[in-house]
Amino acid sequence: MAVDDELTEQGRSRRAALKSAAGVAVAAAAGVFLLEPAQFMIGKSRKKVRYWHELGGEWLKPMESILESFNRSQDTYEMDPLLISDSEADSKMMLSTVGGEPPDVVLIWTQATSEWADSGLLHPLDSFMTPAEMAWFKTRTYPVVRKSGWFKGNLYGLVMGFDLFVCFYRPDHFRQAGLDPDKFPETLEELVEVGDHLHKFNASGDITRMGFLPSHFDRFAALFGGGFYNENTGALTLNTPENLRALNFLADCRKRFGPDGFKKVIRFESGLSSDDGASWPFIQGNYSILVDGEWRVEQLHRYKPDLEYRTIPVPPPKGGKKRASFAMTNFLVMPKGARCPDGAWEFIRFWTGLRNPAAAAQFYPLLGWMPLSPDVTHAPQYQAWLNEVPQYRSFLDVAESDNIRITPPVPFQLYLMDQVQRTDDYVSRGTLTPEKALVRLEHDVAHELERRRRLGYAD
Amino acid sequence: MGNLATATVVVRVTTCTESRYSNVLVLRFENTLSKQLRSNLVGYAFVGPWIIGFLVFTAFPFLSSIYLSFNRYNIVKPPVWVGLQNYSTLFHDDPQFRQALLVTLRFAFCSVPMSIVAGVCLALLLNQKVRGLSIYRTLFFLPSIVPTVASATIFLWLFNPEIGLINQILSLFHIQGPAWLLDTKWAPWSLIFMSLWGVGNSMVIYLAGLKDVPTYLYEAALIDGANSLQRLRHVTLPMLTPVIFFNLVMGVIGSFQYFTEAYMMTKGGPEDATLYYALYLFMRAWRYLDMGYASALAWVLFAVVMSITLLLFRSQKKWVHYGS
Repeated sequence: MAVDDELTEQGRSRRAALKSAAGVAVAAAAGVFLLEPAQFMIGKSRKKVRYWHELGGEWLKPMESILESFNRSQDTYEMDPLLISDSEADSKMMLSTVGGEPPDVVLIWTQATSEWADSGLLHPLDSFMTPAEMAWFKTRTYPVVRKSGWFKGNLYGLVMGFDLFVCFYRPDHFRQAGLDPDKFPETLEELVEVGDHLHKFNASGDITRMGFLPSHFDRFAALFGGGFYNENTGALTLNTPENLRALNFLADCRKRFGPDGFKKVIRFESGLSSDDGASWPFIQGNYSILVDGEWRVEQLHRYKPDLEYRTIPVPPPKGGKKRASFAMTNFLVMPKGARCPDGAWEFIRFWTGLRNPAAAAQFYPLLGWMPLSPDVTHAPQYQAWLNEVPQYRSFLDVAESDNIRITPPVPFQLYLMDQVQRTDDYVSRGTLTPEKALVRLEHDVAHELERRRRLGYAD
Repeated sequence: MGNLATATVVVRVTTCTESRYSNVLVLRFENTLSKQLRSNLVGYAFVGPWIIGFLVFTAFPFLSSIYLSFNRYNIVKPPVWVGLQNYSTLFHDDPQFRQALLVTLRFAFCSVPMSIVAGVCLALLLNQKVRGLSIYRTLFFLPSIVPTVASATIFLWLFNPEIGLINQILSLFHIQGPAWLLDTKWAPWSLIFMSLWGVGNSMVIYLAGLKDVPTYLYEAALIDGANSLQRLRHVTLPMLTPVIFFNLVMGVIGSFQYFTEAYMMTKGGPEDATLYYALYLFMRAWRYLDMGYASALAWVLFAVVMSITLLLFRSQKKWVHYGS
């Protein structure tokens, strides 16, 4: 009986403990659910718009400023931003979409709008546009903007800034080498010759200053009239005479440094400081002429405003295309299942300038990104900024061009561009000749297409 | 109280059919069963979260991936059955699959033996009776607890061809070091050398194994006139073979899952020289959104690892000495 009493007592205390634990768990769960609306409620009457972006570091403050401006302009919506790291941004967005809890709007850098649209991850944006907005978009935006983000007749991403590439050069280096900085070469071949005069080497023959070294197959293919996609026929154009010329040109430039040119370049580049802030090697004087993007202008303006430098569109090769470049585009996208699509669209219109180009003019200089339309640049505020950084005009000049290539809008964009990058690598290292590298590129992509067809993927 | 009531009911029912003696037995049995059940329930409650976690996050994805490997699946749209197409493409039409497998096999065949040799040598050295032994042991073990991402970042600097510490040291001897991670030939070897950084983990297990070698075996060897090298060859190493076998199996499995360092440091380059299997699988799954194909890759990897592990287990009869 005593044992029974003890057992009963033990059971009672155990039950009491379990009850307490269950009570605590229920209270905690209830707390979470009860707290959730209060925690996430923004303002009292405004709907939250969940926005994910990757703009950390020096980009964060301008981003916050843009969000504040939007919030101030709104009675209906308020932004609920989340900074995510670039390494996890894509997978996080995919998983949240699949899990039914996507953000309402995301700023993406990955050149994969078509791939993600094909996968069913994105919500088309053209359905939100009024006819007037669509008309403006199709006629008043830069060519690269109006042709980007489309997939099978729908617009899945609105360009929010795009990277173009022009020549940055240092007049002081030109003068030191006895060259006239006012007479910039008019052809790519001449530019390479000028670069040879600007190189500097140490006693061991190592490069200490790079005059000019063209790199990146995708950027230079456009100058030779090449590219990877025919916008009219929708066909891939990989192994073409234009692309071969571009690759041969890049390979020849490496050979100018001798048989171990590639190794010399690698060693030189490995010893350079980071690209951030004032440590950018161009500022440090490691390069005399460099092909780089528009965001550098604002970087120079902010971190080294007294540096004398100029910008100019990359001169075409003989018989090539003027004001040609490859554009890397940032997109504002709306994941499928977004809970506040109207708020997301309102933010997209606000920031890009689709709603009011003149008002959006204040945001573009903050990040130094290319605007959506020339209409943005006409705003007095933007003109005032351009007067401070006249070097930016080269980018606006190139932006008007029809010779700008974009990532082909095929449903296997990332695979395709990885293969292009690999081709560039093979040629730069001298592992394959340009001819063989292009044959291999075409072969590998054809194989992948065949594989996708066999598995039932759409082309 | 509930349990007592149950026991009472049982007693009442059983008194109608059984003897008084057997009633007592049943009562005791029921009490014991009830106590056992109560005790087990508490145990199940404690392990419940783990079991649920295992079922949801390991068993379910594991079994799902078998089904998905026969499907076209991009995580967004429902899976579509494609039969053996994924496997067929893998074996016949995917040069990157072959490259990834070769890179991984080379890594396994080089890094695992190197780690074993380094681990055993370190353990032998750290098994000596010298002053400050615990400090040395701590120093050699420390790298193995440094997070992989942190180690990878440090090694990125060490392997820098121009300003990296390794090439700086080589330059003191007038040797121009290679471009390491940027060189197609050197990149895989750089990662193999780097894998020795975490050898402290296996070293501790070898040390434990060395402590387990009976002293009388050394005494017998000494009486037989064996020198230190012969004692190592004929006593220490044979007695250490179970531990070596354990580390070999774990090392092989681990090397087929090699991912973080390659993802952080080389992204599979240059020219696919460090395209490890797990990295390729990740790219197919998350970069190209080809989960079905990635699942097929995962099951092929599973088959390869299982085959090698089985071969190792079969080989142990010939070289692993159990018992003292």
